[in-house]
Amino acid sequence: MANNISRRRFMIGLIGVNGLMGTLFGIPVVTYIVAPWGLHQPEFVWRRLAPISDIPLNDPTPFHVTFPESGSGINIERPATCYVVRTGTTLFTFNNLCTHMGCPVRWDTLDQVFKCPCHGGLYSMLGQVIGGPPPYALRQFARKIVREHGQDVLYIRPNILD
Amino acid sequence: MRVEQRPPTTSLIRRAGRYVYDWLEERYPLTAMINRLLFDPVPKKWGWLYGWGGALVILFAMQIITGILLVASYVPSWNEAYNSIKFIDNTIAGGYWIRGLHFWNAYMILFIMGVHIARTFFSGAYKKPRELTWVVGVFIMICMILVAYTGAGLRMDETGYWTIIIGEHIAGWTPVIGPLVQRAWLGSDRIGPSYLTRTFAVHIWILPALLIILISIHVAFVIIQGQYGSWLNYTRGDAPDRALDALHMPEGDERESYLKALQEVNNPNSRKRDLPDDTDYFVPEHAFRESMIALICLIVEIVLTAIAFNHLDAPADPGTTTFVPVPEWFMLPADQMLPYLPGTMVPLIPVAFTWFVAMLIGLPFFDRGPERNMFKRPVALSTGIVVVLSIFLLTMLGGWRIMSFGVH
Amino acid sequence: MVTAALFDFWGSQLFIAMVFITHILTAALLTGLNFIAVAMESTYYFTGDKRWDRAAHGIAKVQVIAFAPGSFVAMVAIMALGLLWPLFWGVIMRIAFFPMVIEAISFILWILYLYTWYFTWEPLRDFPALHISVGYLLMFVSWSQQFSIDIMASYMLTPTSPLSLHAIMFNPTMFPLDAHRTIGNISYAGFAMAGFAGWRYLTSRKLEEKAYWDWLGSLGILFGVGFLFMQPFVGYQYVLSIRDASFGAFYHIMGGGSRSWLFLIQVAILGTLFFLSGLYAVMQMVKSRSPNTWATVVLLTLVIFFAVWLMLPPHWTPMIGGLPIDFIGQLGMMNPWKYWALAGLTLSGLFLFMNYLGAIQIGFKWGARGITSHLILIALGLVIVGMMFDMGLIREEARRPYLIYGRMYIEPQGWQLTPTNEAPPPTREIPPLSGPNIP
Repeated sequence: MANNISRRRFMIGLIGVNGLMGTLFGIPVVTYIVAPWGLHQPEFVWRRLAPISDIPLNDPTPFHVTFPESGSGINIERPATCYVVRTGTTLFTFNNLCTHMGCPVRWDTLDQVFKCPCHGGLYSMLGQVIGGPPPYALRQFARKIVREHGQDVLYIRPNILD
Repeated sequence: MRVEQRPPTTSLIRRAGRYVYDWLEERYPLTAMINRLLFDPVPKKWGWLYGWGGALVILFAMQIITGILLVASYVPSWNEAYNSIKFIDNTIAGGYWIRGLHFWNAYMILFIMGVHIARTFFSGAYKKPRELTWVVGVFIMICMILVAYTGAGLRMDETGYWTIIIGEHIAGWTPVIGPLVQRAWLGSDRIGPSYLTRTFAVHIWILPALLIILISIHVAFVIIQGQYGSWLNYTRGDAPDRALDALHMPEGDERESYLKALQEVNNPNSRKRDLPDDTDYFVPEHAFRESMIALICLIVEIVLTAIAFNHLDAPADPGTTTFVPVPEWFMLPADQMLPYLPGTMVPLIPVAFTWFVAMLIGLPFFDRGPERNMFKRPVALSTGIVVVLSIFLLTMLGGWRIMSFGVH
Repeated sequence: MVTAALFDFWGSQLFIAMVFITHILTAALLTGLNFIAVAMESTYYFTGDKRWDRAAHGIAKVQVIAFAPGSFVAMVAIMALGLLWPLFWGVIMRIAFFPMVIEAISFILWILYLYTWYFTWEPLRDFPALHISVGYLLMFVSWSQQFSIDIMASYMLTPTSPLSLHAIMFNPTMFPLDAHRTIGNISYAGFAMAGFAGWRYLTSRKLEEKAYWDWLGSLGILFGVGFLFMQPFVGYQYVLSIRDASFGAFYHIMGGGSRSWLFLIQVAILGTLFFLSGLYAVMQMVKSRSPNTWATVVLLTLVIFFAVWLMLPPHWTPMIGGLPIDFIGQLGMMNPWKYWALAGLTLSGLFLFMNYLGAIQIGFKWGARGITSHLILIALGLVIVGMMFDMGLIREEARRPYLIYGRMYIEPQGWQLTPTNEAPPPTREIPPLSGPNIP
């Protein structure tokens, strides 16, 4: 029975074998959990909103669009809302998701502020934080203006985190 | 004890039963197990205060069963999940009741768990030698909250969707490991179909398996060390008086269990040396109380399922501008702490939650005083009252503000 | 043509203000005291310590003395509102009719339970369950009186549809105002009790008496400061509700509008309350040579630091030697700096009082204190009255220029001495597009 193998060598062998097994097994497990296929870039498509002249001045106008998204072998169209604010000099294309916890922000005409219902965040018409917990101003979609039939038309597409 | 009192009989059923019993007894320590588990001294006075843990086990078993039935019909796919739930509600026979029981039972478990935790805290039952029972219990609480939370996200209705959005943002704000945790949960850099399949895996497998393991350990600890009760169960004096009292008790379970408890208390090698003064056997008194609590909960859930809706809003619309997200009621206290940490303080939120959980886990190690009477521990009493009040107030205030959002 | 009988417009406002501050000071005290008395009597049943019973009995006696004058002032208030602002009073009583019915019923029940509780104290000594039940009923009806009036008061600030009782009751600020007031009342009652105990300590001679009043003063501080800790949290949620529903009101009193300095005063009083309470705790611990007194002193310095920080006015840039120190203006900004200050103040105060609580358990000799700590108690009693004044002022200023926000004015138009809701709404104070960072 006695193999004249020292206890230390036996334990090291045991731990070594199990450790090797754990590492070999663990690498794909951890990779699967933490670094999934999502690093793959999705296709960023442009969505047409409206001719700029149709957008009222100084009045945030919501546009509902969908962007393609995929995962787990499923392709979906994920809805999003873009608030377009046209002042005399600038154009904003706000993503209506709050920069605090991602809740849907909406424009309140009576109080002339963007309000987030979850924790009371407030943004001015220009997207700046004027109250509540949000840490950053409203994010904007990337945009381009395309000349169509003599009109300037606004297109948006999502940024990587939208 | 009663197992050995076997009068002779010729009834066929009785003989068959005895045959089975003897067959098992030859092979396994059946009598010893019955004596140890079922005829165990537990506190008698104020017994209804101590039955909540056992009721939770029964309710949890109900949750597992209804959950298994739901899994047979639910489809964890972004576009199909909502429809599969409507299918369960409207088309499958009994589907409405199964999902209703699953839904309301979840809330009931969380509420009863809160009562159980408060009772344990205020009666000082986390003190020596029961520290590890408490620590395991805290982990059970975390897993319960998470399992209820992920369950909400599986509905793919407006409420569930936005509550998950808030949760994954909070996870993302954690310093250092935030984006990693967020990506592990979402299965992507953005919310998409992968989040649903991953949340599904967490909700039906990882957390229930953890819960079964942790609850088994928790219950095993309680059985090994004996139920403590609270200071209200220790009214008799020291050891000699207690033995004398036993002589004056009437014949029955109370006296037998008390003598059994006294044996443990007087045995210097036993681990159950702090059993209460007035005891009874677990079966039938205490088991009855636990089952009764569970039965009342079940009746309440049936009534709620019958009269209230099975929560299902409109399908999730990530681009909504009208919906007012309301977090699940048990997440409201945590969620309504968020307005107090604005701007640059936002990364503190996960830190604050972790700190709170660490305080809970470390409680038996901070509070090492032997005193268990609630009124002689003013620090613990006032902290407990403040925490309970704060949870209640944050829930009500936050819920009120959200529910009346947009009213002019 | 309606002419004023006795008072002109400003006189009317002043009279209402005086009557109402008296009413609030009494009613809030009595409501808060009910909670404390019931808690004390319940503790007496659990611990058997006679001091708790004596304290509860004393509180009941104070109530019996103060209730009749307080009710008289309340009646004067109702009549004054009816005489001086009849249009407003008619409208609001129609809107809040059923809550006012509950209010009246609670008033009758309060009389019934209060006098029963006090005068059957000794006779019901052998029936503790009955006795404490009367106490709990008293606590409930006093709270329900406040609850009913809060429906009307919150409706004035954040009105909803006047046609549905459900909408009136569940208006955006009803519960937050209720929570804020309940906690505030208990805190106010605690400090007032502490002030009273401090005065009685100074005027008593025998050691047992001094020991009792010392103990009661400490208890008053614990109630006062304990519930004061919750106020920033509860008050904050209240302010968020106001901001959601009546944004102009919020901007007026806190958002940078013309009355925001009132909140600087409020925060100064808050800091003073925490500081004086902490000083009292430190002095008590020093005089009985408790262990860990040094930790309490350190925490007190932290409390002072955070309280001073909280009082810094935003955008205030003092010049020192010709150089503007603008980081002070930054630190005075609510978001995010004053949040840190408030968190720091609350946490250090909390730890300070947990220290104190632990210290009074072990070998604490009641009654052998000097007089300074009790003068602090009396000062605290006065400061909390100042807080009530400031909060009342903020409340009334928030609604200006309305009586019912957005619906009914307070300013008379021309010859009318009473408000009307026919004029067009004035421009509401809303922040500019690139406004300051407001909470």
